[in-house]
Amino acid sequence: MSLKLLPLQGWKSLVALNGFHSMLLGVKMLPLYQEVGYEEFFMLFKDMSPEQQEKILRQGVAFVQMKQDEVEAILSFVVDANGIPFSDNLRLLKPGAIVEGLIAVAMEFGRIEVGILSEDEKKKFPTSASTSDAPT
Amino acid sequence: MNTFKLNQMDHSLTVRGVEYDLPHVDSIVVEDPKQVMLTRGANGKNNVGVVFVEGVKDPYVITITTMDLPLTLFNLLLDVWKKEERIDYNGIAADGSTKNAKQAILSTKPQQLTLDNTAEAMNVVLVLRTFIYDEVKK
Repeated sequence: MSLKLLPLQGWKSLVALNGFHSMLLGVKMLPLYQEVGYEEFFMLFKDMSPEQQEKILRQGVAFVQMKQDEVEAILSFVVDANGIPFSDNLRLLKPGAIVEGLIAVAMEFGRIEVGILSEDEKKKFPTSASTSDAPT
Repeated sequence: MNTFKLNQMDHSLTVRGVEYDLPHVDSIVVEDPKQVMLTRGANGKNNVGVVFVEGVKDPYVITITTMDLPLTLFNLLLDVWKKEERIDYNGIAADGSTKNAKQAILSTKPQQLTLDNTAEAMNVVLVLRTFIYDEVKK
């Protein structure tokens, strides 16, 4: 399914960002990542390939129970073939479309620079791509 | 179900292959133009008469009074009306009974014609015309 996304802006984009981090935090709580802190997990996520990121996000959508307003905010940035936001047609959305919509927006958040860490904090984590550019 | 009840039904429109919810429907009126008629010669001698069907050339007229349509859906319907495209109406009751219209046109421009402080002022009336309309009661 090819989905079109609206620019991530406005108040709803902040609620959507909360939803994105809820999803990641939920995945971080899985046994595989329990040993790492959220900041480190977030940097690991940022350094993953898009395919790996999508895999993580699919786990998040499958296992993390998100708040309704977060889901609605995320889906307000996804439009169908007729340009109607998913959030305007929630009752008739199929689970597959909801999942794909959530992942598409979350991938966009993964691409853009909306970090939870300051530049100083990023330098602490050797996995970060930003640290490789940092002066030694 | 013996009768359809508006408050026990969900309504939607299928536009360009995507089904859209109509969250607020105030009324639905379907007019069936087809009537089986009876006539006889003007001399009035025959009491059995001749059966014929009137209104076969005319479509069903489905008037859906809706309110608070999402702006995006309103604009899409406006575009459908301008381009004279086909849409479907789907009504489904809690027990699975259905009212469906297919290959309908939007006969009048979707617009909000009244402005005052009553609830009815929020209405947008969608008038559909179609030859394919069907009700299934379960």
